[in-house]
Amino acid sequence: MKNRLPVAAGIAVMMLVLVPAVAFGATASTPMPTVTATPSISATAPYALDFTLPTESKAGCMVCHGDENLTRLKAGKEISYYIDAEAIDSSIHAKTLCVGCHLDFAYKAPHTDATAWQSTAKLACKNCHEKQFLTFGQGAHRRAVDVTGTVAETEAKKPLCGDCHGSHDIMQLTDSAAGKAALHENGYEICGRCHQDYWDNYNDYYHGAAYKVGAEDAPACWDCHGWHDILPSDDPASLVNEAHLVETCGTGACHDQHGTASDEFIKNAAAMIHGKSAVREENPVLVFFGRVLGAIGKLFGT
Amino acid sequence: MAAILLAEVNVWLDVIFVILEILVFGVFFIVHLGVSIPTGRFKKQWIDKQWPKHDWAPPALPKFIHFQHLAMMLLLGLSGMYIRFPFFEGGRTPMRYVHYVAMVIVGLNFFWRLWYAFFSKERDWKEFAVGKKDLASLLGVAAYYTYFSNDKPHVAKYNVMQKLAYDLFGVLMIVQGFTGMALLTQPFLFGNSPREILIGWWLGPLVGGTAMAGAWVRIVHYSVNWLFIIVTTVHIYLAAGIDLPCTLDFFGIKKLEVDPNAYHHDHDDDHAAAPAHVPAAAEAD
Repeated sequence: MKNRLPVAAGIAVMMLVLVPAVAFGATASTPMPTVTATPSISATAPYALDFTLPTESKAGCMVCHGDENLTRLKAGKEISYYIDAEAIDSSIHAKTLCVGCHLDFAYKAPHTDATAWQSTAKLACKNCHEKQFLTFGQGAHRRAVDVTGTVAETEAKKPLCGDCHGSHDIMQLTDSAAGKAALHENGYEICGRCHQDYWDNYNDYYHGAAYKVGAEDAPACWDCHGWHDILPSDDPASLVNEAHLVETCGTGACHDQHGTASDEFIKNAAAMIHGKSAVREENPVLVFFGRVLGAIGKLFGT
Repeated sequence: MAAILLAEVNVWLDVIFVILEILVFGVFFIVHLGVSIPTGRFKKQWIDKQWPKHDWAPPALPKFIHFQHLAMMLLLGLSGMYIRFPFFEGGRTPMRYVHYVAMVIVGLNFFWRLWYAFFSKERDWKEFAVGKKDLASLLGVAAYYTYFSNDKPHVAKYNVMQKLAYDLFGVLMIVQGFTGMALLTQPFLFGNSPREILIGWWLGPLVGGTAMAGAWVRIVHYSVNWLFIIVTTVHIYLAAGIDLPCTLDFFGIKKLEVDPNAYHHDHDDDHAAAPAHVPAAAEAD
């Protein structure tokens, strides 16, 4: 704080040199930065410098966000703003600048402006992954807007790219067995935490129950339902619509053997995938024993 | 309703077989063992140590085959149940391999035992053959095990119910081997899978396709697995509870005392009142 002049001059020089580089280096356009040299504050101690602009090596952002103690109290809850540098470096986006996704970065520290920065970052993928974003726009997770361009509250709850794919630790999927495996085992985080009921009843013998204990060949949600253009099963275009089940189940490495995935089999097997729980709940013997065990539990106060 | 038929059948199988196993376990290990106390059989065997006498001891090879068979069947049951009800993380692929390896060993054992029974020097297939005399003794044997009689008819080394149980095991193994192979869908047989070759061409058209045939065969495979468990539960009870010395010998724990003058599977009931008792060798069909 003692040598503000050199620091300010340094910042000015950096702005002249780095900001254009950042703006052109990032794959998405970024707003022109406005620097307000407000001191950054860690939960434990002040940082040694007032503010550092993002650089090509991300070192600027990581000065603060590389600190595990960087938290903020928000509505009585302690939120961590720590970013694991190793996770970024091992991700497919290791070479992407922070502002490549955090498009609305305001160059203020701390970033106290009430902006929708999370949504912006979660949707920034579209700038590079245009094809996927266009496909996403055909699925059930697209956010409808009314004539005024407003997104209804229910629509706003729908997931953006980052809600499913994660953020700083996104792995390569194309031609990457490790990335696909990591994605495969993340069914709950990706789909289940929003579709809890379907996650719970995905427990048939050879698909759901096996998937939940890490069976590599058991299908994840999207292996049947599709992904970016996912649609509800009553939509005729849905992969899990009755009209497409034979095709959906009969392709890939599943039930495709010499066209053996017949209508009869697929209807039966598909009904069991999310239907076993309901069948068990209606089984009179299990209902009886459930009541007996419940009564015994009450008797012993458990 | 038709669409959930497979789910219904599978859930009912789970329910029925679990209850059946619990009932069988209770009937034998609680009821049958319990009734042996007032009838005096428990005291005679477990306290007075009056176990059946034998004029033979199990030969080494059948014991070895039996031990291997037991170990592999345990692995098959465990891995098979895991495949259907996965109960720990990351076990699907390893447990499938365990299942395959155990299946091959059990299969080899089965053929080895068949060779021993029919073609070896000691060929003992007659010990397992059920003849007219065996069938005639069926009611008497059943009466003995249900405590209606204290006399167990002897017509051979094994009683008729033993023979039927052991023969049933062989039949179940053939069924289980067939249905197990029919679950394999990898097309490694000239572009065809075992499922297509074994059931696809005849059962498929009857039930709505090869995959549907596989689903029904899986149901049979699972049911037979439970039959093995239930029959083995009874086998363990009877082997340990009726003839512990022979069981201990079978597992190499304690050598069986051979009494050359004893009848096969003799027991301490009133021999004078059992004129049907004749040396097993003379009675074997």
